[in-house]
Amino acid sequence: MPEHRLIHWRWRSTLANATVFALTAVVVAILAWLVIDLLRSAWPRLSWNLLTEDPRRAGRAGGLAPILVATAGVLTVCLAVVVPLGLATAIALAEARGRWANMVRASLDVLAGAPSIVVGLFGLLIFGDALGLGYSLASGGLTLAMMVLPVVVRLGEAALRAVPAELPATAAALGLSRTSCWLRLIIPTALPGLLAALALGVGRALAETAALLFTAGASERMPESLADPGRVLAVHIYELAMNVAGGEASAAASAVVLLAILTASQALGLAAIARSRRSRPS
Amino acid sequence: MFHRRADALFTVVTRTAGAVSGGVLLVLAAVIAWHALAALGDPGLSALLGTRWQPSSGHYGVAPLVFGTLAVAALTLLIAVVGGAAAGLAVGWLLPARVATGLRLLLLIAAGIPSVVWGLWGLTTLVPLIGRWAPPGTSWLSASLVLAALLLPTVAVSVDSSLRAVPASARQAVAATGLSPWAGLAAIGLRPLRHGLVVGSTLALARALGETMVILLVAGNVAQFPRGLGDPLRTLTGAIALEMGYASGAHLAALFALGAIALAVVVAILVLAQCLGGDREVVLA
Amino acid sequence: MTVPTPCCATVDGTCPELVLDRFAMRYGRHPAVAAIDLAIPPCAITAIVGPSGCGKSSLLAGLNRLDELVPGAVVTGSVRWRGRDVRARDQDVPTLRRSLALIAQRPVPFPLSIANNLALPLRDHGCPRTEVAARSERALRQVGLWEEVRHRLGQSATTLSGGQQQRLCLARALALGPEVLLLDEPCSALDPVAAGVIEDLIVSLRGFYTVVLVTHDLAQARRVADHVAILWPTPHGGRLVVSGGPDQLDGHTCGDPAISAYLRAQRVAGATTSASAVLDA
Repeated sequence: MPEHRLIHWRWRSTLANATVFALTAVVVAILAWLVIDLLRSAWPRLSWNLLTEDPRRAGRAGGLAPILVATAGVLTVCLAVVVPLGLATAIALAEARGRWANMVRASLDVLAGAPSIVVGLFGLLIFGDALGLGYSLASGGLTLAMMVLPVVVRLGEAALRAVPAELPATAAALGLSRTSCWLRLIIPTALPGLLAALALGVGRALAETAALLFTAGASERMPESLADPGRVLAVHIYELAMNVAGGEASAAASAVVLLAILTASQALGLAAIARSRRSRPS
Repeated sequence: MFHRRADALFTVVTRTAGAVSGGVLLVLAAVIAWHALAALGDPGLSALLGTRWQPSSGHYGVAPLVFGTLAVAALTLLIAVVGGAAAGLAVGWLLPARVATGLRLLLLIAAGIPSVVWGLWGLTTLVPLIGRWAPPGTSWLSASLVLAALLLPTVAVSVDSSLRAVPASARQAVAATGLSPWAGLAAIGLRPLRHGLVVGSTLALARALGETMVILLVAGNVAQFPRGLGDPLRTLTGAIALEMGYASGAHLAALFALGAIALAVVVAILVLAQCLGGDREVVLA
Repeated sequence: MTVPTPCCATVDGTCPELVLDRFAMRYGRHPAVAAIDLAIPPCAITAIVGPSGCGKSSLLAGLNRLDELVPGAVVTGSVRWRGRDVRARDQDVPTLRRSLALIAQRPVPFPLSIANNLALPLRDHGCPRTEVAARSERALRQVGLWEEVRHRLGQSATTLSGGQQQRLCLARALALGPEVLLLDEPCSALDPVAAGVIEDLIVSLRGFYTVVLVTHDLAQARRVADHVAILWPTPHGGRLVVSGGPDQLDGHTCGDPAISAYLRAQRVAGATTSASAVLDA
C-alpha cells in the first residue's frame, strides 16, 4: 500500500478514536457533574434524621419518614401483584412456542414503553374511581405494577430459558410431573436470574413518578394503611423542586436518599445472586 | 410431554397469567381511547385541531403541544444517539477489557437514575446556565439536553450489547490480520452496530415522547410554538400532568385526548420497531 | 417390586417382552429409522450397534416415547411392551417411563442433594415418605455407590465425579423399580476407568432387568451382550441389517461387504478395557 495512503488511514483512525473518546469523556463528565452537584446541594440537609422525622415547613426542614413509609407501601402492593403474575407469565412464555407467546411478548414490550402519565390516567380511572380506591397507596401500587410487569416478565423468561434443556428432558425421562420439574428443578436453578429480574423491577418502580401523581397522591401525612394516600420519594423530590420555594436542598437530599436506596437494592440483588450460586443443594 | 393429570392446573394457571399480562396493554388502550372519544363531542374535533391551547379561554388546539412533544424528542434523539453511539462503541469495541467493564457498569448505573433526579439537576444547574444566554432558562434546549443525558445510557447499552454479541473468534481473526479496530468495525461490526443503534434509538424515542418529569421541571411549560431553542414549550404529557388536578368537563375530555395521542404515537413507533427489527434482545435501561 | 428378582416373571399373565413391529421414525422429512422388526429378548442384555447416523439413539428414545420431546418427530409402526402398544391412547406415560427407564449419555444429576436426587422422583411417583430412604439405599447399593456417598447424602450431587454421577443417574432410575433399562451410550462421556465400572455394573444387572444398550463400541458389545442388533445408515433411515448372538459382530455372516469391512475394522481397533484389566495392568 502506498505510504501516503497508509498514513491517511491511520490519521483517520486516530481522529475517529479521538472523537469517540472525547464524547465518552463528556458523558462520564456529565454523570460526575450530576453526582457532585447533587451532593453539594444536599449537604446542608443530609443527616440521619432524614430517615426518622416527619417533614416540616412543607419539607424544607425535618425528615422523610412518612414518605419512606409510603414508598415502602406502594412497592409492597406492586410486588405483591408483579411477583406471582410475572413469574407465572414468564413460565408460560418459556414453555410456549409460537404465535400466542410472541403476541404476549410483543404486548409487554409495547407496554414497557407506554408513557407513564398515561398509565397514571388509567390508574386514576380504574383503580381510583371504578374500584373506589381513590388516592391511595393501593391504587398507586397497582398502577405501578403495570409498569414493572414487562421488565420482570422479560428478564424472568430469559432466566428460565437459560436453564439447560437436558434438565427438563431428564425429568421427563423419569416420568416426573411438570409441576415438580418447574418448582423443584427449573426455578431453583434459574433463581439468580430471577432475582436479578426482581432487582431491576424494583429499580424501575422506585424511579417512577408520573404514574403515581394521580394514584397514590401527594399527601405528606404518614399513611396509616394501604387505603391512605401517600407521597413516594420520587414525587416528593418533584414537589420540592417544582412547588416549594427554597426546596432545592431538600429535594437534593431526597434525591441522594433515593439513589442510595436504588444502589442498595441493586447491590442486594447481586449479593443474593452470588449467594445462591455458592450454596446449591436443597 | 409430561402427561400428568395434576399438571392441568399448572398449565391453566400459567396460561391465564400469560393472557392477563398480554391483555394489560389492550385494556389500557381501550380505556384511554374510550374516554378520549368524549372529546370528539365536546370540545369537538375542529377545536382540537386548532393552534392555540388555552383551556381557560376555551381554546383546545393540540397543535402546540404536539409540536412541543416532537421538537423535544427530535433534538433529544439527535444528541442521545450521537453520544450513545460513541459511548457504546467505546465500551463495546474500542476500549481494553478492564476499562470497558468499569465503564459499562457506570452506564448501567446511569441508566437507573430516575428521570426526576435528572430533572432536578437540570433545574438547579443547567437552567441557570442556559438562562444566562436565553432567559428564563427553562426551554426547549434545556429539556432536550437533560432528556438526552437521561436516555443516552439506553442507546449506549444497546449498542454495546449488540457489539459484544459479535463472536470473539471473529474479532480475533480480524485483529490477527493486523486491521485497526476501525477497519475491523467496517469489516464485521457494521451490522451489529446498526442493529444496536436502531433498537436503542427506538426505545429512547419512545421514552422521550412519553417523558413527563424532566419536561415539567425544565421545559418551561408555556403552551406555544417555540421560535428558538431558548423558548419554553409544553408537551402533551406535561399538559396532562399540570392540568389534570383541576380540569373538568371539556377540558378533562381534551386531556384524555392528549393522552390518547401520546399513547398512540408511542405504540405506533414501538410496533413499527418490532416489525422492522424483530429484536429478541430486550434492552431495559 | 421390592428386591430385584430374576425378571422372567410374568405379571397379569403378560410376558415382559419388548417387540418392535415395523417401527420407523423421522424428524420432519428427514428419516432417522427405517421400518424395523425386532424382538428384544427379556432378561438379557441386547446391544444395538452401528456407525454414527444409523439412528440407534432415536430408536432407543422411541421405545418409551421420549421422541415426543423433540418437535417434529414422527413415529410409525408400533412398539409393544407386555403385549400393549406403548402409544395406545390409554397408556399412562409416566408409568411407562418408570418401567422402561432411559439413561442418557451425559450424566444429568439434578442440582439437589444426593438424597433428594433419588427422593424427588420417588415422591413424585407416589412413594410413601417412609419408604423413600430404604428404596434409595437399595438403589445406591445396586450401583455400588452406597459406601461412597452414605456419609454425604446431603451434599450436592454436582460434587460427584463423572462416573459417580452416571451411577447416580442409574440409581435414580433403579429406585423407581423399572423392568427395562434403556442405556444410551452410558460410558462414552466417561474416562476409561469409570467406563469400566459402569460396564461391570451393567453386566451385574443381567438376569434382573431387560437391558437395551446402545453403543458405538463393538468391543464393549462383544464383552457384554447376549444379543446384538446392527443398524446401518441408509438414505431411508437406519436399517436393521443383522441380529442374533454376539458372534454376528465378527462379520462373517453379513452379506454386505461394506458392513463386513466395518465390523472387521472395529474388531482390530478395539481392545478389552474392562476395569479389572486396567487396574491389573
